[in-house]
Amino acid sequence: MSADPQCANLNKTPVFSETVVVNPNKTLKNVFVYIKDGLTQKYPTPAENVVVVFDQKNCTYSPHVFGLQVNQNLEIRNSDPTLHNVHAMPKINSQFNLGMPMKDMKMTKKFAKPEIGAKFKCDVHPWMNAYANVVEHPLFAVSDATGNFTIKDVPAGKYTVQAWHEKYGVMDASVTVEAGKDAKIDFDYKGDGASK
Amino acid sequence: MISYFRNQGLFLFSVFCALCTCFLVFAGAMVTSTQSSLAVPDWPLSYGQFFPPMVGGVFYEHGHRMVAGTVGILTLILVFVAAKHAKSQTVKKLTWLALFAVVIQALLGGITVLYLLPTSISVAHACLGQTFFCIMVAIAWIQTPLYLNIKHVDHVKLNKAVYVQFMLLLLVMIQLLLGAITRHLQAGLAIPDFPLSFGRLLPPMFNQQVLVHFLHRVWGFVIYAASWFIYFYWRKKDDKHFKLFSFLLLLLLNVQLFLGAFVVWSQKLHLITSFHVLTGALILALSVVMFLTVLKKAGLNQTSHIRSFWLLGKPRVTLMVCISALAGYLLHDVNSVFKMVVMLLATFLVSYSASAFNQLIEINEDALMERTKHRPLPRKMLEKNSVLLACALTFIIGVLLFYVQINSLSAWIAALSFFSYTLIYTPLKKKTYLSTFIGAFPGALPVLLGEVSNVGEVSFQGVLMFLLLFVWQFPHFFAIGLMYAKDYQTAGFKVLGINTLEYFKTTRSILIYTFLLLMISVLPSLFDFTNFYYLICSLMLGVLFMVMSFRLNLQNNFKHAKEVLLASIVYLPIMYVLFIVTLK
Repeated sequence: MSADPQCANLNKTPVFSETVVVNPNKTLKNVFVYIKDGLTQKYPTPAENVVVVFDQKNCTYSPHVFGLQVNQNLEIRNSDPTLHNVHAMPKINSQFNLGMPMKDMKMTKKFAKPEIGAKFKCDVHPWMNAYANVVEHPLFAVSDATGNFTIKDVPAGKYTVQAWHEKYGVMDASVTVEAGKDAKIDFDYKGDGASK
Repeated sequence: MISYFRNQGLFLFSVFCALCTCFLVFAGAMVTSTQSSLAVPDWPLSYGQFFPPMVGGVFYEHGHRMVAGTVGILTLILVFVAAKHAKSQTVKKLTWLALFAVVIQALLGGITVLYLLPTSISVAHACLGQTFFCIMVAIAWIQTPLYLNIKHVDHVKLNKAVYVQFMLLLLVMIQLLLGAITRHLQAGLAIPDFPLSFGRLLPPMFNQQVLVHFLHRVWGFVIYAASWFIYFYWRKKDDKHFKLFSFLLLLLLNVQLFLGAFVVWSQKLHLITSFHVLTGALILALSVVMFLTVLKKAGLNQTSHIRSFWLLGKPRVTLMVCISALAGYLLHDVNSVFKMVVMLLATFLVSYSASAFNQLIEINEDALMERTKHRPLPRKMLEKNSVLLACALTFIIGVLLFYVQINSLSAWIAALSFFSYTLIYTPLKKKTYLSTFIGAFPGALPVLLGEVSNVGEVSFQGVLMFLLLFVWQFPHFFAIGLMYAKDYQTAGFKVLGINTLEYFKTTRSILIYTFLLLMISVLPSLFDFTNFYYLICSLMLGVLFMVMSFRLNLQNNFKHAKEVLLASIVYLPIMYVLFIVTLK
């Protein structure tokens, strides 16, 4: 944080890397979970005003891992009184690198193709990074501070669900959803990076 | 008296510029070392301003832009001061070269930021930066009292020394390229240990990064060994200047070896890595200084030598080759200006190589002909071995540029052009009158080379352009043949005969071929590739060309033949422009 006096000001207490965040109940935060195979219906592109907000606040990206739909608007904000640049490095979609020098400025971007684990970084503040996950449908979630995730409104059927973590990789699981009932999946990640 | 002080002033200012450039090399290296290359996403302004807050990576990237801008302005001042006060024309020309280089360097810097660091542009920016540094060092060096006082020693005795120093320069330039590629492929830690590779002598597996990293290490050792050889070489010759230079070289190389090791051991600490880059630049600059100095000692530092090397490449022919390649390239949309520039450079190099090789083969014949007896080799301005080396280097670099930066097919076409021109057409010139027909194939290949460089394949429009250039060769060469018929016979070339009956045949051939040219030039319209304007203009131009050749038929003399030649040189580029501009 010391590379930028503004960042140092905004962060008086130590800041930790968000690569691996283990919750107090020994579950993993920031795992992106989505339906990989099995969906038969198509979901329309969300309207222009249904945006996913991606903020630069206190010299960190928030959220650290997020999902959005293909061609959904990603609203990138800079809530810090310092300059950031948003350098997106997807492998399938087009890369971009935008300067955001002013506080409260906003920019909107879209991703045209599905892609998992597209990295965002700030070239001014090298510790800042985040991951975007672009999916064709809205059936995804990110595990929270209790290690839980919820995907709502899944039609009945048999699906492959994939979990993605930036360090511990991907895991697949099968699940059958019955109409009107909840289905439960657990993903077991091992700390030594076993599942890649 | 005043001019002495003015010269001193210029000299000191040149030294100051070289020092600033040295600092710039370091500043530039720090940008990549701290991974701040994209910290400023826009160019030429930084976050839309001249002075953004210098936080984080912006400090390195924008800081380096500011130093670069300063050096650019200093270079501009240097050009003006040298133009006014420099005694040596070489100094003046070098300052213009430096200005040109720094402008291109700025453009490359901008392109690499705006296009998010394409590897080849970043590598070019790295290499040009150090080259620019060498130019600045050279400008200062050739004004030093030491250099100015160097006496010309027997040229023959120093021949080997010139080659030795040239080879050193070449080796170091290759290492610069390898180092830049290693950095910009992020292969700096591809091999995590030193001096072993993954605990062994050879890495157990090779991928792109391990390979380039390993090559960089191996080449470093090659240069290290070479510097010991050079040290003992000059000690034996007991030359006081060069003993000092080679000691300095050895010193720098030991430092560089240690720094290289430390880059790996420290896991690429920013300062260590940047000093490694800087030391590399200093080694390169020292190699340039040594080469320039040995050239002066051997009496080879005349600008006439540079001119001789330039003439080896048959500049007017090479220019036409490059224009033809460009025409072929422009048959399709230009997606990358950088690729087009690389294509032109590579075409220049291969054409240079073929022309130089041709002059090497035909030294004796050139000496016998009025038109060519003033060429560098018949006049003994250059050594045959130097020419051979120049041929080899330009050919290899040209073909490699095609292969690596453009596509493999273009590399094959370039090589084919070279070999068919030098090993088929040239020897056949003395054997058969058909040689002009055979030579028309390599002559027309540049158009295909250009098109293939752009889109990787040949289109029907490309074939039509090829046909145009192919048929064009005949009136062009026959006109030259008529102008110098006696010469060609003396030299033993079977291009034309010299008695009037043969003259008549040749002039009639020219007429026939210009008619053929007219027919072919109309084809693109027939196939609906171009529009009505093309049809009208190509008809007019073709008829004009035919009229010129008809006049030659009526009265065969040198003047008319020369007019046909000039007409051919004007006709071709205009036809290219016409074709491309009216292409649908």
